[in-house]
Amino acid sequence: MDSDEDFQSTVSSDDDAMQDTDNDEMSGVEDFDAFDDEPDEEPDLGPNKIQRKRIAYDISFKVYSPTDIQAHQDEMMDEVNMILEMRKEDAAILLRHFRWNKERLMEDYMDKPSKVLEAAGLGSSTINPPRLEFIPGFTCDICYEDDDGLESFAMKCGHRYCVNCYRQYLTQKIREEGEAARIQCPSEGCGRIMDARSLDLLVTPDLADRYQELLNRTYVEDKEILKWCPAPDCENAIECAIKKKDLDKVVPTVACRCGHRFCFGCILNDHQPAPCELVKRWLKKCADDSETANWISANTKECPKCNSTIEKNGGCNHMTCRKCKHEFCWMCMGLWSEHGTSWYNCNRFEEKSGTDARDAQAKSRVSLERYLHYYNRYANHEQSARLDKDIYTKTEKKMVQLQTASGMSWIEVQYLNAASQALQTCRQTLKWTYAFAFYLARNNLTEIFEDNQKDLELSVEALSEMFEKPIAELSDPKLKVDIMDKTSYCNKRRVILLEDTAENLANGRWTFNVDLKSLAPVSSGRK
Amino acid sequence: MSGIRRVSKELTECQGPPPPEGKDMSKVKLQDGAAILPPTTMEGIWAKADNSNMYRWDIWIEGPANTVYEGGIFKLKMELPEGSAPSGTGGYPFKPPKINFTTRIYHPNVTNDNTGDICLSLIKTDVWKPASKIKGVLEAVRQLLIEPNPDDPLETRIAEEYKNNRAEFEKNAKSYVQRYAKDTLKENSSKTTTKKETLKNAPSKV
Repeated sequence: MDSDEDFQSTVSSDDDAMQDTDNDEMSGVEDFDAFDDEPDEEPDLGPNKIQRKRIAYDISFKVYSPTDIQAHQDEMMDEVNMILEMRKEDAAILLRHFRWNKERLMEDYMDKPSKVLEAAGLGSSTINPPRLEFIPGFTCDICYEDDDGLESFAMKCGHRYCVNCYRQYLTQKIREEGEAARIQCPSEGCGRIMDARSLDLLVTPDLADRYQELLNRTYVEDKEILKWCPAPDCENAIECAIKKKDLDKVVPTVACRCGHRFCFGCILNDHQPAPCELVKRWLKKCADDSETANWISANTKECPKCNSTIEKNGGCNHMTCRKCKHEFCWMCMGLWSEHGTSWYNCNRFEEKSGTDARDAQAKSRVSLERYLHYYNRYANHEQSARLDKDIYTKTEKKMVQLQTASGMSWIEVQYLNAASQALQTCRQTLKWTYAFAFYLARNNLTEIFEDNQKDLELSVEALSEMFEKPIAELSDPKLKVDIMDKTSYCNKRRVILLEDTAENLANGRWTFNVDLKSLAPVSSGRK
Repeated sequence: MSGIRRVSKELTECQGPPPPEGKDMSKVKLQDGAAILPPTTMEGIWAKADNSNMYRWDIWIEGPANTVYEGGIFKLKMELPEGSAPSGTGGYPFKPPKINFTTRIYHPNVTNDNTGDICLSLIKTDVWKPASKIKGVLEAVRQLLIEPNPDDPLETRIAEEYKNNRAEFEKNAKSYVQRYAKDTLKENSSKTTTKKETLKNAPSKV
């Protein structure tokens, strides 16, 4: 393949790396056509498809800070408050009830206002603001206190309880149960929802703050297009319009402002190019000990008579089962008596008696070896990424030393940071290419994929090696240029690989060798 | 603590004043050495708080008439969670009571083991309200004996049986009553799971 050679040559001439890869990307598309035996399907690769490919890989998303989230909520509340002429607290309750679907709220409310209010726990409302009251002769139905001057509170539903009980109830709900949007009146069976203004009246400011925080969470959790950044201590949310049903066509990777890259579909760390469902299966496969069973079936055989599991760890092929004394040949699993005099040398492969057992055996072996091939490479990149990170932490210190040693400024040593970042992301991608490849059925496209994978891997290993050089060598300006070139080359290779996989994924051109139920039926592809 | 006041009041509500003649005691044929049941205001339900701890109650429920449980008396234990006042974490009534059968019972909504957990929505954390009352809980438990809820089961196998093979269910439930719920009022009559029972429920080996 032409492009393959081109890629190889660019590895050595780093200076032209950028230029060459751009060309290669073009030639890559041409090569792709060459595999196509049916020219009439050519229009598929027209400009439309290229456009869609860009969208498929560069998923669009927005990052919101807690302030942004609050502003969005306020905006929607104001809008509902204006249009429906209700209190802001009530608008908030209604919006949460409708999971922040403003359009549906408006529609339903216009249709049957009282029914909507009832369902949202608002009942018929009056204009009076909430307040604490002294009612003569009042007995609290929670604590049964009836002291004179017992302060009490009731929401619009009229269920009245003393302030102490209310306070304790709300504290418990907010602090212990993390509840906010659905705190109901303490009366049994009453669905009236506690609103923010009543709450402010009853609880301490810090509890009210916590309540507000929890409410903000429901805003993000209720909206399908919003998700929290899963990085520890990160308070941002990401907006991405990807639909669940499209997860077999795209791998929606998003990057938070905090630097964390994750998949919007499943919240796991960036796993491009493998789609979520494959990732789920791969992780499960690696986690459970189904491979132990695989080892057993690869290294042991069952006695053809009594089914005891036997591991042959030496000796001749004449097996006598310890348990049932059955005599058989380890090679063909057939009866030993059928062997005649050809002891120690089974040449009876044509015999029917052992064929089935051998077939199962062979399949199991191949399957295990295949799995281990991909798993070892997957695990290797995971491990290397961790080591690269360790080295970077050390290098960070060295960056300071490098400044004094070579007289470079802080900005001038940032290339090490860039290199480290590139190593991390590229290894993350490489890691998942192996899980992806494990499930990939061979066709013409897989060759392009494997070439891309190989190119990326080679350049990443090369960069990794440069990156590990001692500080004295790092100060050499030649090495700096090499590292910078290699860094951008790695990033380029990664983009090419991801674009190729994403495009084929979006167009359903990959064939997977497992039956992925949640994946849409894969088109038979082009042969 | 305000909780105590509430609990003692609720106990009074459950027990009521000493019953008028023939109201409850006569309903249960007390056997030799049987414990004396406390007074009650509820139909077929008796409640008594621990002498030393108001937050632990003993409950007896009579198998309701015209049900498979008729003729049995089921003992239950109820624990009211005690809150720690300073940190403001509420115990009862801000948290629901915990209630378990101590008498074995064959029922879709009660675990078929020594813990006797009950699946009752009223005492789930998200349904329970501080204004909910123990009396209501006890009545709901008795209602569960009259009308099991196989759509929300704790024992799926029993629920299936209840739905698809009622005759078999009734046979099993009645045999449990005979075996476990007859001598409930006798002191020290706590019957534990027999070996035979455990084996019966274990998956059969071939």
